[in-house]
Amino acid sequence: MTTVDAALLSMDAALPRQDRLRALDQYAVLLARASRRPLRLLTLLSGPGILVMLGENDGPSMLSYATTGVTYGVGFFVPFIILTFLIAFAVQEMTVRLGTATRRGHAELIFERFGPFWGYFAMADLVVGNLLTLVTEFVAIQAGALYFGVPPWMSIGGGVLLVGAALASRRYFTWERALLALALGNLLFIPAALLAHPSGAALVHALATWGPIPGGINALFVTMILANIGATVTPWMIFFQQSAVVDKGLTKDDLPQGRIDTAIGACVAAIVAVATVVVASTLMHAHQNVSSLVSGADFATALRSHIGNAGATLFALGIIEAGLLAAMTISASSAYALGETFRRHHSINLSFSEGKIFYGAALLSVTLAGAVVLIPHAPLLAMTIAVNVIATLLMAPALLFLLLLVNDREIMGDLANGFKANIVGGSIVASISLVGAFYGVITVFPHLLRH
Amino acid sequence: MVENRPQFGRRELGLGTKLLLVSLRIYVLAAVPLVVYAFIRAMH
Repeated sequence: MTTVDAALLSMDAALPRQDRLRALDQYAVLLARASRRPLRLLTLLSGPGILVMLGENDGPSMLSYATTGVTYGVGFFVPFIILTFLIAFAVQEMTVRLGTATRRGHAELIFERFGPFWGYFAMADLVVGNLLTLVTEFVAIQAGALYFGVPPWMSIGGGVLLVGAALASRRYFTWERALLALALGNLLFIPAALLAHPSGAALVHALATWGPIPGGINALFVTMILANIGATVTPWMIFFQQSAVVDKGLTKDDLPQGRIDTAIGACVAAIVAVATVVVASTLMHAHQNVSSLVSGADFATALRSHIGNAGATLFALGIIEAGLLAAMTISASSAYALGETFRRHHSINLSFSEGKIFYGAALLSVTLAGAVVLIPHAPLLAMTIAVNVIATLLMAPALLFLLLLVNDREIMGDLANGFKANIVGGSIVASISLVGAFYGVITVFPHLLRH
Repeated sequence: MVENRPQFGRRELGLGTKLLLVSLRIYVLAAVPLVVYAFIRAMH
């Protein structure tokens, strides 16, 4: 019998398992706080912020950064990517506040405060968007594994099994720690960038001067801008982090650590994104034709002659990790949203018998997505385009509801947005909504930007 | 996390928020066919 089992037995048996496990985690937090161990406290409370930020450094996002590097180098886009992560931090900080103040997930709050129409809409939008995004994650896993000669059925099957294995712990804390360990793989892009022998002077110059805009404003430049924003701020992040904060049991007292967790995640994710731009910029200097680079395996193969076999291997491994971590977090966000909307149990602390719907939803979504990738001649490109359109067009409602909820003093109390936070939040919502809608429109009508 | 806990209940909406939500419904009505169109177009 483990210590956790003994502690569970000593608690009131009438309490559900998920509440007893969460109480144990909160007790460890109380002990760390009482014994004034700030680092231990931060270690215990960190997780959702790092996972959401590194989870969004997913397969398609890493390919967006790599394409940016091949097309434009580091000049304009390195500072721009850092700016997008500052925006991502501002958005995700609001979800941490919302989760700790209300102890409810995002889908649940929309349903309760704005009624069934918006509740079902938010859930359906998220679940459909997530399912299509999961397809693109498995495409990334498959492409990264192909670089090592692993057949698709094996890499996809292995990916689905690993998502299931992480959930099989039936313990939020264990699941989170396993994912944090996997997220370390995102750092592989950093040594790959170092192997490209980047010019420190060029990076400092890019940060100090930010510009000029390479080649002026044209369709490709606008697409790259929009793709990089879409690679850092997406609806699933809002839903996932708020649900994870609630499942982890964070309270108002834990808000400072929740913010630090999110800031650490944003910083690390930004460094990895910049590293990916840097490593791919070696291909720009070699005048590589960007249209020949479609998948992670294409990039790794093209990079091999410039950064060596080790660097290309790190890049391919990083792409696999990016897809796998995102598959784990995105499938969890779908399961949380379904449970919250239909008022079913939703927690990674549930036993299998209590959480049939929760675990079933997560596993079904990854299994379906994996199966789609294995279908010969499946319209994967069409799905990728639909993912981009859904994520960007529907970012507006997600951000608007976030802003309305964090201004709802009845549920937020003293954690509601102040004037300055509303100026920052409002500007972000307005600009991302406009940019998102614009991206959706030019994806459907690309000829609008041809001239 | 506890499914039988009391709900917050519907929010009292001011005129500005109501107008915003009506605009959002119109936006969504335009966005959904756009997504379907994008998918079908990409299939071809």
